Amino acid sequence: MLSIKNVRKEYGDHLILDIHHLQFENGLFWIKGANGSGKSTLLKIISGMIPFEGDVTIDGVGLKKQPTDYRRLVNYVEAEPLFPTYLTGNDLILFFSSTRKAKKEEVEALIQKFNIEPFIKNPIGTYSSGMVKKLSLVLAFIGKPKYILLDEPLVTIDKESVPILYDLVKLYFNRGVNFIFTSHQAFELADIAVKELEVKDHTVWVL
Amino acid sequence: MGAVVRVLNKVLVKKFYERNVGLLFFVFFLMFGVVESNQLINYHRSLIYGILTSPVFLAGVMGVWLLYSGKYLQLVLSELAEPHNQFLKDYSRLTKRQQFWPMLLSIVMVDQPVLLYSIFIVGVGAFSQQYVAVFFILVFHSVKLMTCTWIVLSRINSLHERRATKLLPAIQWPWRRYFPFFYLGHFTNHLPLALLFTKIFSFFAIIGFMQITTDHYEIRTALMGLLFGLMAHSVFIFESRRLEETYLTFVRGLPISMIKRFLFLGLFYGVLLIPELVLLAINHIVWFDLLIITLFAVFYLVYQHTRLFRGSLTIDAHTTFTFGLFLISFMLVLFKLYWLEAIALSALGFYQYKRDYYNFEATA
Repeated sequence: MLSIKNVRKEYGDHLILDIHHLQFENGLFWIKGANGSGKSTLLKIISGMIPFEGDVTIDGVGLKKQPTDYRRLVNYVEAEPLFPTYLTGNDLILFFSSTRKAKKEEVEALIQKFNIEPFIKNPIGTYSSGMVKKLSLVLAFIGKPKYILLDEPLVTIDKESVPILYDLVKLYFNRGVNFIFTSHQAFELADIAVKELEVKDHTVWVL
Repeated sequence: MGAVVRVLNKVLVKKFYERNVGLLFFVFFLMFGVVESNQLINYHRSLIYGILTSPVFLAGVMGVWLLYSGKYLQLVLSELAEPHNQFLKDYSRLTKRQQFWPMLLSIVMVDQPVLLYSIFIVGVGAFSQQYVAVFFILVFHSVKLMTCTWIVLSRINSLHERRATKLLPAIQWPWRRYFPFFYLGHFTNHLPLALLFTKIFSFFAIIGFMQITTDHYEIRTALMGLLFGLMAHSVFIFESRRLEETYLTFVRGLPISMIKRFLFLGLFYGVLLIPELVLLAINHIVWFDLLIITLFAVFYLVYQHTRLFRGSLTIDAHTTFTFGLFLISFMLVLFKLYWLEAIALSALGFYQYKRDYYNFEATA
């Protein structure tokens, strides 16, 4: 279970989030909210990408007290990921695999699933934005996370890749992985209930 | 035109000076700091007469001026390839004449140190009737400024083609890149000329100081030269931190322990300093001293890197700190306490890295 307690985040004097208590049980969670409401900030806080006041834990493992162990439990993909243009997709996949101790067969299956093999050994600077997004989605599934956080996963990927993403979400969900995502489009997942939340007035509301 | 000039100054000119403040300071020191103040005028008068009367000397100086322009062009062309500067595509909507003069002005602004010294040379040349040399200098600068302007404008006008132009070809790495090499890739791909310049200065500084003859084995001369070389690397420390906050943000979310992250940094700076360390090794520095020097040099850079996780990431503060650390280190080297500094910098570096790494947040 992912637990958020007394989390407060400000940018300068501007309050973004002030969450007293929030828990994510197992499942798929769709975070909604207006532009600038704090959806991406919430995901960045949960993934440990930005500093904040308060505490976040997953099954008792604290983000601040056990930063390395906690990061093993969460994978996060930005809405518009930026990677060094001179690196290849392969460089990044191997780096992520080694830090997250992923099995080679598992990573190869992900590469095949998203069909990124034809360009994986080329520098990222030659990729289109859709190719970069596919690469980032492959990176999101590497390792053994408890939660995968996807910020606008449907943006910039082609329509052929959407069902592939849905299949993977289902597959990993059945293996016990939970998902928290933001999206302006609905996730059309048959058989799996998606719990909806909204970021509004600096906090998170269950819909 | 005023608004265009302001944008060009902010995007290109200011960035050039920010990135090269360490190097410019070093050159300024070489030109005006190494000679006693009462000898300064005579020193520069001799230097200028040498330039005016010897065609070989003049050609050499022009070569250095060309390298300086090349350094600027390298930076501008790599900056124009950055996504955040794509708005400059709109510059191509101006007429050729409207494009030319603001760009020429921005290039003159960058060339200021060279042009100012050239004005003195031309003045002395005209006074001493060295008209041929003066003519060549004037033609050289005119052609150089026009050519630089033309190159940058051509690049801006082809921005919509999504083609990256580089002055030096990027070094292609055919094998897998391990994490510490992610940083080096940035330098070899985006700042190859700056890297080349820094290494040349570093080598000159080490070799220059090692020319000081002593009647016994003396490690301090090499260390003093190395210190100048390390100071010239300050721009790469800053660039590495900038890289971390732009293209390597994902690393923060990965399960890597603090000690491992710190060792990665040490490995990266160790690899960056291999040329200097090889130069010292072939100059008969005994292996134990070389080991201490390696630790000193690596943690000297690592410490400055870890310090950039505190406060805002600005070049001004970094430069001031770099200069302060240089002065302290120079004194410690004089008193043979560099080994103590190596230990202190590694311990303090790790402490502040552990304290600040997850708490840093880049501000706009």
